[in-house]
Amino acid sequence: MTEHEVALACATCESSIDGCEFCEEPGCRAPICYHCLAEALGQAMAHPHAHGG
Amino acid sequence: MFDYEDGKLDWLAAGLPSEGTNAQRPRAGDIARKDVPTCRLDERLGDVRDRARGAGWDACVVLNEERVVFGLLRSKELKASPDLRIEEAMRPGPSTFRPFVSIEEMAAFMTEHDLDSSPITTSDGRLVGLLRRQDAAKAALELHEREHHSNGGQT
Repeated sequence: MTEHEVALACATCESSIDGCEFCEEPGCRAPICYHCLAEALGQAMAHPHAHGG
Repeated sequence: MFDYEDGKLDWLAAGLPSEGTNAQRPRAGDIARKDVPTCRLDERLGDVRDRARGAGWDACVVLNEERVVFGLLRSKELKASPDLRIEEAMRPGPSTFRPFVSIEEMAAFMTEHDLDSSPITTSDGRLVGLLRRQDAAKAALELHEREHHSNGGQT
């Protein structure tokens, strides 16, 4: 990361991201990662527990 | 009868018909505008801008021969130098959304993120249409009012 780049975190899960997956705008106030966005929009389902329960 | 092996989400993502209570609710694919202008990578920006604005649009979706979305030109990109080729001017690989996504969710996200338009595609990237924020917000409001009234005013 250069000194001009600002660390960005998903507003939902707080994981480190390069940019907002929804709007892709660098100044986004509520950045969201791919996985949280996919779950929020019902495009993917939350990963089940490893034991399948 | 046969089993669709790719699963329910993929069926819905292709914009195929569904049944049940939720099937009556408007989805992103229903509200997305199918008449959005489209262009190819090797066109000239000035020509595409004239064509889009002539049709009353401030956006254009960049497609390949198979109607797969390669890029997007929103208002900001359309204002660039008219001599640029589309591949130099477009936003490459924009975020795209599936046709079955709830119109309320899309309206809420587009408002929160101040996004004017979002491409709606099938799961293999083919264009369904362009969802405009004003259309999404209007459809979400109408849905809310319809359900609110049919519920006797109870929320």
